[in-house]
Amino acid sequence: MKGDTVIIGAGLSGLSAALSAVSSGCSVIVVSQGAGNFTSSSGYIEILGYFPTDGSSPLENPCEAISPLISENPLHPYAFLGVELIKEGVSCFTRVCEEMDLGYEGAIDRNILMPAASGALLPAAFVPRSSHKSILDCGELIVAGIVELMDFYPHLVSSNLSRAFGRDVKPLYVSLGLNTRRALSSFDIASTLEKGQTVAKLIKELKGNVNKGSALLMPAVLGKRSGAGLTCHIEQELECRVLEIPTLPPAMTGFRLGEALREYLLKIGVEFITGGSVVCASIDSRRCREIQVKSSGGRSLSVRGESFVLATGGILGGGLEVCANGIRETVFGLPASFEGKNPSHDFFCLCGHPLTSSGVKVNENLQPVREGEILIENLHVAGSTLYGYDPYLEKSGSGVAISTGYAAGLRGGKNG
Amino acid sequence: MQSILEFSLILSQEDRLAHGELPVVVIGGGVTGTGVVRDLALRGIPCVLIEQGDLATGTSGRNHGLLHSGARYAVRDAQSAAECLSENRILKEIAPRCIEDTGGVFIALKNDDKIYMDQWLSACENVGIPADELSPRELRREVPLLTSHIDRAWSVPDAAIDGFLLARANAISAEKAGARVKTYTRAVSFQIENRKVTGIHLRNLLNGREELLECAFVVNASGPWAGEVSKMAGQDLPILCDRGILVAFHYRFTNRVLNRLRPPADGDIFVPHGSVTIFGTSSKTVDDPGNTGVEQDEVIELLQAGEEMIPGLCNMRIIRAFAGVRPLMQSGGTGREATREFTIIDHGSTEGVANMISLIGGKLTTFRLMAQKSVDRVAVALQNDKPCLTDEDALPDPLPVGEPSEIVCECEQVTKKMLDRAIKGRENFLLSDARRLTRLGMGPCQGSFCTFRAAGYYDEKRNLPTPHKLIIDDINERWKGEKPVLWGWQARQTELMRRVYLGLLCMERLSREET
Repeated sequence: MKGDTVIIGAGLSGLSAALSAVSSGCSVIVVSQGAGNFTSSSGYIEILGYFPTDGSSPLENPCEAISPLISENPLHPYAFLGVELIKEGVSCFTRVCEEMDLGYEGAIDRNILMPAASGALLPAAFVPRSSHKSILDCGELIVAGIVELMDFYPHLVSSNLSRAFGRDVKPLYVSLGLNTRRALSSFDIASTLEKGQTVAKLIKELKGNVNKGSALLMPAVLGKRSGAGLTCHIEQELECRVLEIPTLPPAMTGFRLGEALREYLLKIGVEFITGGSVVCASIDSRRCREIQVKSSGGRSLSVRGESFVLATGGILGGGLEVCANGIRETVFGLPASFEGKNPSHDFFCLCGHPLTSSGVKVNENLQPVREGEILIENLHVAGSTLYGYDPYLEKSGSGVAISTGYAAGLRGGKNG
Repeated sequence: MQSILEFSLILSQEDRLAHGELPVVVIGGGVTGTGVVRDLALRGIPCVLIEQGDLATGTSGRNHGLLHSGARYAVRDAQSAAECLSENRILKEIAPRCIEDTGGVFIALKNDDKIYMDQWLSACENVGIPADELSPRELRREVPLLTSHIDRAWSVPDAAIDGFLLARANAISAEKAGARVKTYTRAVSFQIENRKVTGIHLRNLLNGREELLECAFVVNASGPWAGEVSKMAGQDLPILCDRGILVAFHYRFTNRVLNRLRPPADGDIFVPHGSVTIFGTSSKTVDDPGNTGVEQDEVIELLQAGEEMIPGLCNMRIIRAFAGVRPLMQSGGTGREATREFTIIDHGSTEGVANMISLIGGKLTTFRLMAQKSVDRVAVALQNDKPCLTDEDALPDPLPVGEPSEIVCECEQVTKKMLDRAIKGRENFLLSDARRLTRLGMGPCQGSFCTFRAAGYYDEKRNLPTPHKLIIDDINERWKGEKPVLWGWQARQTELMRRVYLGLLCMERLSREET
């Protein structure tokens, strides 16, 4: 097989790279072991939530904090992009989502605080339109859990949200009347809510408990596609505002995003090879010519490309492997760096973990380097495999994925 | 079998407490301390147990969980071996719920000391430990991970025992017979009058409340802390703290205990527990009885010691590393040379304190015997002549699994009903308290999801003031054991936990303050 741009990894950074590579006129192949880690994602676009990471409040204006971030941390992925390229990447992304009926609202210079399933508040710059609404001006704030749904606890949410908002938040449970022997996941409930009669039951249960003009916070189970349709329906029936809260995995908020992007890319002619691992790469004169992909069944496929994007998801995605005495980049064997191996005894410490910010060092073109020397010219790295940032403390995961993916796909297109 | 007996004991104990008869206070809620208080209560002696943490949070919860057949000690310590064998049989009779009778194997590899092997065989015979030879080929079919360099192997009646369940079972039995058990209660100082301990100043570590508990006698069963406790009575104790580390592998790759047949060294023993395999151990003198942190290089050293028996051990996924501190008798050599026999120090025999004894040494396997001998001493001092019943009286089931209900922890199959039972009657609790009785979060995911679920569930039932603190404290408790083994798939697991608890739930921003 041959493509202009071959992308390794089908997560948010890989698919963002595919978008920009296609828009540069390249033929694109996406090779991946799995379907990308979308189901542990909020589905929001988080540009920058906290800087410095031990700041006591979230940033109001993420855009304004990018320059100070870059001066303090010149190896942060944003340092290789700059604000303009970040904006471009986000625009490209939101345009595609709009086409796929998953429109986003927001602005790069204003963070919105979104309720999380713990009752904490998550700062994000862009959120799906169906989640873009104010709730604090509503009459009553209610958190409704579903009896049959695992991993969502209204009392936990409401006790922390009341503290954050300084007002009462009322928890309650409703039942969908499903006769199940096990607790159901968000995916199960979202599937079930595609049936009219289950929706009717949900509304009936809520009606008794939710007054007009209330804000109703629910776990994000209102459909497997964009939550918009069902959310509006409930809002109309109950005359209230409905806001979905991203749940523990499988989070439908991330799932919907992954589905939308994949569908779009397939529509515009991107080829996907799923379920294969890259077992070796042929490099000569500092250029990658082709990679060998092996399926779990043992079949081998050779994929040739003009340029390549490494979007393998860092430690969690399998793109970086942690050994007892170091870190290994698993596809090309690129040098991977990390600062020390002594994490804090406090898992939640605001100073970060050495492993999370470990990864491959790059130059301003996202090409992998060792002491400034370019290792593979036609390879560009994107997402969590990159060195130098902590997506979980900064609240920058999707922002870095989308913008570095966009840049990697674009640069690959230019080089190829 | 025991219900009528216990009922009459309860009446007589309550009468005695009502008549102002002062209790015996047992300090330390491990298997030994709970064993002592059970024996006291069953002999009708009023008693109170105090423990600074939850039951079995000291050495009793930080070991292989091995119910020895005695074979490991047969060559160098025949007395200890004989006691192990006898207690092994007794405990299997009275505490089946706390024991999985896995059986064990002693494996001699081709380069191992043949002289020791011969000594071992005759020593086992002398002590009476049944050792039946096995075919190495059959053994390897049963445990495919074993090396092909096995010379000979024998099966012995080792078993896996759960220290948490055992301590709790002892405590329940003691309480049924009229004892009081106070956890999260620390002895702060002693009140001494005329060379006797007449009272102990206690502090409740959960609510800060202090009280003076008057007592007739003190049994110091606080394990590695025994030296600190005896100092409160102005007494020195010849105790040596010896730390050993252990690791848990992410799956159960053997159904029998595996022992190396050679002079005891590091990394000799593998014990199956629940869904994992525990491997250890090492030996190092330490100053601090609470020194239970583990460094990564110690883990690597331990794994290398086990490579000979299980090739490829160093590359296997480890979910946790932990350590326990052995309270050894100082004069008996250090480390592996130190005797494993137990010693009862009577502080009245020197110019010390007349009504206190301290317990040093011993093994989990022989706790009941150590308790019996200690209580014999106390009984003499208090002029009580009731017989010891702890070798026949069956221990209660500390946590009935009960009928099926919704699963909270998928790795270890812990249900909502089990969680309810685990904290019944407790006003304040940590998730670890439930963990010790149910194995919540002890599997490969180390609480990645079940921590959130258990906290959410408990919050729904109990309306807790700060449920998120339960989650944060518990994740940090699991993290302590994951830090030294952060590589391979376990490093990926902890990244997933960061992604969920920080990235998705933003829990690092929730206040750690109590309301």
